[in-house]
Amino acid sequence: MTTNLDSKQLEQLKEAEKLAFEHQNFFEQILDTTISICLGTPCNEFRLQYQCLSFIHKAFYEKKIDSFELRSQQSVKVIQLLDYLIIRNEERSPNYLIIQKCIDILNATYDLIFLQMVQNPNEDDWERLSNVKDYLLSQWPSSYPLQPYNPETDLSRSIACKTSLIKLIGRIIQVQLPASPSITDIEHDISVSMIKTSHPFLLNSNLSSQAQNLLDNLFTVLNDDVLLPTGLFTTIMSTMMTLFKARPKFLSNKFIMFILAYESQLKIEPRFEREEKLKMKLTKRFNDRVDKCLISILLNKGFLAKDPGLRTRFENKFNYLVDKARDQRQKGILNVDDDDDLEVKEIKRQKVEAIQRNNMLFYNESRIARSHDYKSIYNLIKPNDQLTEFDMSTIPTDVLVSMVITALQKISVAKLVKGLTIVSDRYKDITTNTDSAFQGIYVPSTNEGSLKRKRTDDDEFGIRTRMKTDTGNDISNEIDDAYNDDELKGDFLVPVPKEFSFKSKKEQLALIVRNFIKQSAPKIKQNNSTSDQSIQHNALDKLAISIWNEESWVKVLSRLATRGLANDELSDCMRKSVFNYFKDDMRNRIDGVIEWLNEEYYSEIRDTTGVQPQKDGHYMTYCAFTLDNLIPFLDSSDRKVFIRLMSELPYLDKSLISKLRSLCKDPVRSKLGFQSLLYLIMFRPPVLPDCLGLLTDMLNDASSDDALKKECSTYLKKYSPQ
Amino acid sequence: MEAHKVLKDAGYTVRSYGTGTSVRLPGPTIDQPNVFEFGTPYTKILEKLNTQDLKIHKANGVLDMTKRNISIKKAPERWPYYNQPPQRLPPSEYPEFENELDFQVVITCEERCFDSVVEDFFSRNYFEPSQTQQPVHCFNVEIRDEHRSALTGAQAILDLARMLSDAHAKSLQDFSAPPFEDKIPDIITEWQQNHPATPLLYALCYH
Repeated sequence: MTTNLDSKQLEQLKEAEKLAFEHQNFFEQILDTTISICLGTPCNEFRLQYQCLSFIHKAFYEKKIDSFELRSQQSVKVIQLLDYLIIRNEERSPNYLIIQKCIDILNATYDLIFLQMVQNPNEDDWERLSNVKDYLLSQWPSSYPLQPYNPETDLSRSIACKTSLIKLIGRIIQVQLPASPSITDIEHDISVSMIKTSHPFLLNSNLSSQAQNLLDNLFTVLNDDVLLPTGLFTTIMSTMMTLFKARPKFLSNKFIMFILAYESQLKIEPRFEREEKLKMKLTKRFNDRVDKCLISILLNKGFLAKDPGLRTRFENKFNYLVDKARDQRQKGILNVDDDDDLEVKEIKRQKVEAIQRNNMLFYNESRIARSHDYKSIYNLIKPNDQLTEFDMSTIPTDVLVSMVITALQKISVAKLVKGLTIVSDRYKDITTNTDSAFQGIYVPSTNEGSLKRKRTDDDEFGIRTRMKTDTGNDISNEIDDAYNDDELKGDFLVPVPKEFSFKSKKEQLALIVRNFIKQSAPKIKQNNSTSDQSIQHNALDKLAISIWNEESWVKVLSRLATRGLANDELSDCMRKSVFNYFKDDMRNRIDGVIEWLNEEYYSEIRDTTGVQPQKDGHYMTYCAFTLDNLIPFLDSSDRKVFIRLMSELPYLDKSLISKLRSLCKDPVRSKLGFQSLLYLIMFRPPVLPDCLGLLTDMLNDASSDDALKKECSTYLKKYSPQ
Repeated sequence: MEAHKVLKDAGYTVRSYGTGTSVRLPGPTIDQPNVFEFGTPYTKILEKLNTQDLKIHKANGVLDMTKRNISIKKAPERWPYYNQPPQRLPPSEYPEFENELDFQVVITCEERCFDSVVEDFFSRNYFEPSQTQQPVHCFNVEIRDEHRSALTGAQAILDLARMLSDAHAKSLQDFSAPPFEDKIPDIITEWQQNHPATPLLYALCYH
C-alpha cells in the first residue's frame, strides 16, 4: 500500500523529472538524486523504484535528454543501479516491470558506457557491467524473471522481458562487432573498432567472439523446430533488420536465406499447446505475414537487384505466401483442420520425436515451488488445468489406491523418476532455502551465505532458477522486512509443532477410530489369491494376525486399546468407541466381542501371577457392560450365540453369573437362562459354585414363582445333592 | 474513420491515417473519382461534393460520411512513412501525442494497409538503426469498404481495444497476473473466435 509519505515522494520525483527534461542542465543533479533514492528504496517499495527507473528510462531509452554527450557522460552512473536491481536483488522475487525497465536501460546505455570505457578506462565499472550483462544473457531464452515451466512453453512466457533482451542482444552485437568503414550514415555508431590496441582491459577479439556467438544464438532460436510466438519472431526480425544495416558482413547471407527458407508449416507446436489449434494457426499466419512483409521489402527496396536468380526465388516465395494466405481466407480462419500433406506430417513427426528424446515430460518442470503448499510442490500440470482444482480427497481410498497402482504400472521409469525428482527438488528448496513462511528458528551460521539460493547447476534447461512467487510481492516484502542480508546468512530449523491439548488428542483419537471402523470393516473382503495372501502374510506377521479378514481390524484396535496407548484415559476413549461399535449389533459381532474381551483379560493378568482380574478392572467392567447390553435383548433363538459367549469369556465370577438371574426369571426366556447355567455347571468347573449359588438364591427368593423354584430345585438336586 | 469515431467516443486517444498516395472518393461517374491530397480539409472536400450531383453522393453515402468526418478531425492524413514528406495536421492538433509515431497500438482495416505499416516499421529498423526501440503492437481487422461493414468492423475494433486495454490495466495493478504481452496471443484467439468473419493479423513492431 502506498503511504502518504510515498505519495509525497512520488510527486516530488515527478516534479524533478519534469524539471530535468525541461532544463537539461539540472539533469546530472536530478539523476544522481534519483539513483540514490532508488538504491535506498527497499524492494517492496515498488512504485517508488518504478518511478525512479521510469525517469532514467525516459532519459536514456526514450532519449528525452537530447544531448548525446550528456547521456554518454552520465551513463556510467546506471551501472551501480543495474547491479543492485538485477544481481543483488536476484534472490528477492524481482518485480517483472522493474526487470524489464532495467534491461531496456542497459540496452540504451550499453554503447554509451562502452564509449566511456574506451575513452576513460575504469576496469571495476566495466567488470560490474559485464557481470550484469552476462547474467542477463544467461537468461535468454528462459522465462526470466518468471519461474520456468518447460523450455517450449517458456518461449511464450515473459514476452516483454524476452523482447527487451533480444533488443539488448542486438545492441551488444552491434557494439561488439567491428563497424564497416563503408557505412557512414549511422548516427553515433559505437563499436569495438574504436578500441585502441593499448587499451588496458577491452580486448577486441574477445568481445567480437562473444558478439558472434550471440548472433549465432539468435539464428539458432529462429531455426529451432518449435514455432516461435509472433512477438518474439517479429522482434528478432526487427533486430536483424537493424544489424543487417549496421553490421551487414556478419549476417547478410544468413538473414536473407532465413527469410527465403522460413516455413511456418514445418514448425511444430509447443508440446503442451498442441490442443490450442486456433492459437497455433493464427501464430503461423502472423509469422508468415511478417515473412511476406520482409520479402516485399527486400524485393522493393533494391536489396536483390544484383542477383536475378535470388530475386526470382524471392518472387516465387512471395507468390506462394500470397496464395497460401488467400487459400486460408477462403477456407475460413476458424477452420483448424489439419491440412498438412503427408510429407509435412512426416517431417513434423520426426521433429516431435527428436524433441521427446530431450526428456521434456511435464508442463511444470520448475524446480522451485511457486508457494509454500503441497499443491505447489506436487503440481506438474498446467496451472490453469481444471484438474488442479479437483479435490483428490473426495475419491474413495480404494479407488485412489487402484488409480495409483494403475498409474505406477503404466508410467515409464524415466518419467516417474523425473517427476519424483522435481517434487523432491521443490521440497528441498522450500525446506532449505526459505524463510519466513516456516517461521523457524534462526541459527546463525559460520558458513557465510550458506542459505543463499544455490545456482541450479543441474538445471537441465540451463536456466538459473530464482525465488519468485506468483502471488505477488507480499512474501518477499515480509522477508525484506523481517531480515536483512546478514540475518539471512544462516540455517533454519523447522519449528517443533505445537503439542496437542489433551482434549484435542481425545478428539483426534476418536476420529481415527471412527475412520478405522468406517474404512476397514465393511470393505475388507477375504482374498483367496495366493499371491495376495503371501504379500499379506509379510505385513501381517508383524501384527501377529495370520490372515487379514473382516474382523482383523478388531484385533488391531483392541490391542491398541489394551496395550498400545500409554495413557489410560485415551485407552478408555478407544474402548468406549470399540464397545459402542459392538453395542450396535451385539449378536452378529459376538466374535469381535469375545476377541476383544480376551485381549482385555490377557493384558490385565499377563503381569500378575494369578488368573483373577481386578474387580474394577477394564475386563470386568466391560464384561458387565456387555452382558447388561446383551441379556435384555436375547430371545430363545440366540441360545448358541449366548452360550458361546459364556463359554469363551476367559473369566467369570459371581457378579457376572448373577446377571443370568433376569434371564432365568423371565418366563419366556428362562429356558435360555437355565441352559446357560447348565452349560457352565457342566463345562466350566471353576464357576460351578457361583452357578449353584445363583440357583440357591433364586430358590430362596421370595419373589420367585413356583415354576422357577421347581427348576432351581431340580438343578440343585442333580448337581448339589447336599 | 468509423473506427476512429467509435474509439474516440469510447475515450481512447486516437489518430487515423490513410496509407495510399491520395484520398479517393466516388465521383460523379465510376471513371471520374474525386481525388484529394492528404491534408485537404474535409470542409473543402464537402464544398467540392456539393458542387457535384448530390443525389449520387447521398445515395452512395459519401456526403454523410464527409459530414461525419468533419466532426472527427479537420483533414485526412497520410501515414508518416519513413523518409517521405509529411501530409498530416500540425502537432498542435494532437497535444496528447509526443510525436507522430507515439502509439502503443496500430490497427489497420485492410491487409494491404497492414503490410504497408509493418514494412514501414521494418524499413525504419533498417534505415534508422539507432532510433528504433519503441514497441508498437500492430493489428489488422479486415473490413470491407462499405457502410454496413464499417459499422460492424468498428465495433469489432472497439472490442479488441477494450480487451487489450483491460489486460494492460490489470497487469499494472496486479503484479501476480501474467504480464500484458503474454496475454496478447490469448486475447487475439478469443477475439478471433468472437469475430470469425473478420480475419486478424498481428505483428510486434519497433520504431
